[in-house]
Amino acid sequence: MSRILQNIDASNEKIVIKQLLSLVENKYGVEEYRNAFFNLGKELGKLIIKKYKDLGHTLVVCAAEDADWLAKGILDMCKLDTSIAVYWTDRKVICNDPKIEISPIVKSYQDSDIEECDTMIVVKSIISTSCVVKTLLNHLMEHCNPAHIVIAAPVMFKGADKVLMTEFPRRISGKFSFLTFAIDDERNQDGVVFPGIGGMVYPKLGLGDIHRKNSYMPDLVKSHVMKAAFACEEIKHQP
Amino acid sequence: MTEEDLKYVENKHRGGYNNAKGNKYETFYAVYYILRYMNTCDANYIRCYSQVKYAFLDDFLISYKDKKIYHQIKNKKSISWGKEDTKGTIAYDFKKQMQECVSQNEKYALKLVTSHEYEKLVKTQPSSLANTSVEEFPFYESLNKYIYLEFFRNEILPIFGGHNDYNRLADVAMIVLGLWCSGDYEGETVAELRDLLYAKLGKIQISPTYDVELLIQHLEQMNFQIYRDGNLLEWSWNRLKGITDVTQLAIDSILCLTEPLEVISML
Repeated sequence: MSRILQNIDASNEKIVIKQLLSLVENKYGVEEYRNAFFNLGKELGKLIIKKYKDLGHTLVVCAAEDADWLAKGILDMCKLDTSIAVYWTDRKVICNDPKIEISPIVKSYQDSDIEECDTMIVVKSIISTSCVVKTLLNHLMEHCNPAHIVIAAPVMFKGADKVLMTEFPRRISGKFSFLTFAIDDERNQDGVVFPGIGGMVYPKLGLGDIHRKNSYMPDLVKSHVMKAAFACEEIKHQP
Repeated sequence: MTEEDLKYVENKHRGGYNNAKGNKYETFYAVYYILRYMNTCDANYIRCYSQVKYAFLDDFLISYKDKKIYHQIKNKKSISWGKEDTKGTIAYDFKKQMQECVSQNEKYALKLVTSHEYEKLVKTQPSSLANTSVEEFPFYESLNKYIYLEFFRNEILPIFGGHNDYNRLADVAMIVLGLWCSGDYEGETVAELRDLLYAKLGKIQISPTYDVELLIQHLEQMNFQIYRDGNLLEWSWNRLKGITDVTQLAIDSILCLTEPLEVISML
């Protein structure tokens, strides 16, 4: 196993390495696992602010399982002029040899102004086959035309960035930049990245298996729905 | 076919078979062709084959009623017909295939599919080759890139009644790719492949049932927008939306809920 660390310096080394280890060590429970993602999200957020000076109106995109911890960490740190788009996806294997699978979107939440974003930040717990990130980008390219697309994950599989670049025409992939703390190059016999984030993320986050996790309604989505409903009510009652 | 010709096509077939799994260009072309005819009435009559044995043009074969369309598919930057009497050239293979089809009394057409030098190949096509055409088809490393091309997207749109959603189009293309690459459905009609596609998308035709109608009423009373297509329910509420298979739902449990966000958790 050879893990390459990236974007680590004296200011974040201790916390990032500690949180990455928390993800893979089995002695931690759901709360610690969630906190590790939240803290890694904050560190990714700090990195984003440092690297990108002029983000403009930002759209943070994530899967539902990443909303309340990883994405929240980024949002809390960045305090940007931000919209969110959250997606619940399924996974279907179409063919085993060669391995062909899809990640269809089964549910989504999108703020009303996602089309006006200048920067899109796609957040994922781990980028392994890039299947989910590809799906989310395919969906969003229908609605958005950001100047920059930042793809951020605490852990990536080696070469996943290059694979993602080949999936899109140059006018889209030319906007990509990738941010990660750890690049792994091994998979176990089930194809799960090793050490990665310690295996399948859903049960470790307390969300059940790959099907049950789609029942989870993030607090982030609830708060945005309530904010939008409140804003609607205010407009209704304006003289 | 002579002994010599048989040996030639067997060698060709062996080489093609070994290369086939890694040959994205041929595979992507096959996916494009299948998608093109999926929503047409010809779908019931079109069958597709790859790595055709005992054919000089063996990359891809379409049989349509009593007609066969043989394809040679080439992804080469530098390509030319070559001389008809020189073994191994494209012109040689086309001439031999034409002769074989005539000797078998087959209704046929021959097609050269190319990623490069299309105009040159059209201009220099040997005049002796009857029923032959050249088609241009681009090569990309990834099937996903094709859905961003207008001509490719336009072939898939009719399958969804015009839903112009890159994500759904990508899913459709990937499913057809998976069905084709599995090798299990070679020789099926395009209409049968379409039914398999819908099954993979989770779409099946079901009769309206009382509990599904109750569910729809319940959702509409909570200000959900609903569109139903067979077993699939497309719903939206405020800025949330989704698609769900009604046959997988615990409808009785949902009917007891009155908070939209709780309902959405169960959809």
